[in-house]
Parts: sequence; structure tokens; C-alpha cells
Amino acid sequence: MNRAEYMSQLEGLLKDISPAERVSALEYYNDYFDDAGPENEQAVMEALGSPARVAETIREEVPGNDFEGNARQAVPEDRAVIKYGQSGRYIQSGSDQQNGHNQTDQTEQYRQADQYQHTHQYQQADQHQQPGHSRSGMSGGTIAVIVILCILASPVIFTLATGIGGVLFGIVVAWFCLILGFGLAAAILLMVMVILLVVGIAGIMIAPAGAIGVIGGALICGGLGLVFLMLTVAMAGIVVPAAAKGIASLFRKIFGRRKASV
Amino acid sequence: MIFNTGAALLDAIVLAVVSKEPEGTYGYKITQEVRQVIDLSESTLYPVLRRLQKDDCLEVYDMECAGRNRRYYKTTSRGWAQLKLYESEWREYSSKITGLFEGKTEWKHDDHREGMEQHE
Repeated sequence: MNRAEYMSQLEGLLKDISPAERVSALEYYNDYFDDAGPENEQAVMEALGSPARVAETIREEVPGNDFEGNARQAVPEDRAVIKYGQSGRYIQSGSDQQNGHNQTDQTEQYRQADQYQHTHQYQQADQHQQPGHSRSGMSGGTIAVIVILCILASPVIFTLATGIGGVLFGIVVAWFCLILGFGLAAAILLMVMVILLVVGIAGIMIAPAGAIGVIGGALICGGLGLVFLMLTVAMAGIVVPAAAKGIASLFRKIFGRRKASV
Repeated sequence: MIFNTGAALLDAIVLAVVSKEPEGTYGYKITQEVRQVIDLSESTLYPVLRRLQKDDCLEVYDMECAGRNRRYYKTTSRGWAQLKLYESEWREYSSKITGLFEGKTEWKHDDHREGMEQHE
């Protein structure tokens, strides 16, 4: 088999691929024979293997039904290819007889491409380094689980909240009642003291011993009244704000946490 | 050669060979130069060159030489970027393997569950 036979066999085996692909492959192997030199024809044919084998390697890369010549092959899995847009240019060499006009066109294209290359050659080299992807906060799944648990537990939570609320309300009401009671007691005792003092002073000339006893009773009432007044002030002034603060923080804990978890 | 040359490594080698010639080079010469580095069949390179051309890593042009037109392959800017990627990946890969062979790998043993992972 000589070179011409080899090439015609190869051409016959590539009938089913697109003309552009077939021309491209045949030109490549024609060039290959030319560059190897006529004296190496047999060696080249041995090195390439049978036309069937060469046709097989060409077909590996070329889709059989691709008549546009630009459909992209599925990239072999182990190739890390930088993805580009489809702006690429394919300079089709056409047929074997090239003229001078075509030649200058290509030289021009070649020079432009050369400038382009030197301007842009490094711009994409470092893009493959991906920034570390750190996750922060709870994942959606975790939040969903918490929400579902909250919904499932809602009867318990509601009952507990109602109970605790009722107790707290009771304590607060009782507290205010005590303040009111102490305040009333203080007011009454002080009023009694004033009345007894008036009665005692008025009666001091008529019945000195009795009047002194009444004044003593008045002072005792006044003392007790002051004690209740102080209790009232203490409860209203110190204990109530503290209790209010405690209740407020408790409510914040209950409602604030639920808000945060939703 | 015991080790397989995968498609990615083959692309990288061909890109490196073509990139050595700022003016571009042709199929026969590329084949001979690649074959000086790795042992492969002479018919392997056409699909590689065609693939690189389709990926816009190589561009082709014809230039007259000794009374006929010869097709030249030349690295595009994308080809250069791809080659840089391959080179850095290869440095990382080969230095890890070399480090392992020469006993220079620093094994991480954070905990017993993940202790055998060398990186990440």
C-alpha cells in the first residue's frame, strides 16, 4: 500500500462524518506525509497504523452528524477546561490550492492574534482558585426542625405559658392588694391618731387622766400607721419595680426566644 | 511508560509544545516533539489538536512552505490561560506525589475520624 492508497482508504472510512471534519483530518494527514518526507512513507504508515485505526481516532473526537463543524464535544471527564463563550474563530483552510490573497489575510489575522495573545494571556490563569466557602449560622434544615418541634410541642408550651402567666398574674394582683391594704390601714390609723389627739387635747382640762390615755392611744395608732405607711412605700417603691423588671425579663425570654427561632 | 497519560495531561503536553513556538508549529513537528517526551502512537495527536482547536485553545492557519501549504497550530490567549492552569495543577499534583515518595508529606492528625486526610 502506498500513500495515495492509504489516504483514499482513510477518506472512504470517513464518509459518514461532516465534510468540514473530513477535509480537516485528510489535510492533516496529507501534511503529515509531506512533512515526514517521501522517503519515510512506509514508516509513517506503519507508525500511524491501519487507515481503519486512524479513522477510529478521528471519529473519537468528531460527532458523526455534525455538519456545521462547530458543535462542541462532550469534554472527557478528566479534563479541567476553563469554560468559554462560543466566540472562537476557526480558520478553515478550504481546499488545497491556496493563493497569495488568502495568504495575506491569514498573516494579518495571525498578527492580530499574536497581539491579542500577549495582551491577554494571563488574565484567566488564576481564576480557578475558588474562594473558601464558609457556612455561618444555622442551616435551613436545622431551623425547619426547630419550627416543626415548636409546632408539635405547642399544646404543652401553650398550657405551660398560660399556667405560669396565671400564677404571675395572681402574685401581682395579690401584691397590689397588699399594698392597697397596707396603705388603707396606714391612712385609717393616722386619721384615728389625729381624731384621738384632738379628743385628748380637748378633754385634757375635763378629765386629765383619761385624756392622757387617749393621747397615748393616738400616738400608738400614729406609730402603727407610720409602720404601715413605710411598708406601703417600701412595697410600691422598691419591690414593685423589681417585680416588674423580673416579669418583663421573663416575658422577653419566652417571647423573644420564640421570635428569634422563627 | 507505566503511567497512563490522560486526556488532560495530553492536552497540557501538546499545549506546552505548541506554546514553545511563538509563530506556531505544524502537526508532524508537534508529534515528533511530543513523542520525545512521552511514548504514544502517532495517530493519537490529531484528535487532541482538533479538540484543542474546538476549545479555542489553538488556532490554525496555513502558510506556504516549499511550494505547498502547511497547516500551522498556534496557541490562543485561551490556550495560554489553559496552559497556565495545567501548569499550576501539575506543580501541585506532582509535588504532592513526590513529597509522598520522598517521605516529606506532613500528615495531619487532627482527630481519629479525619486523621488520614492529607489536605482540605
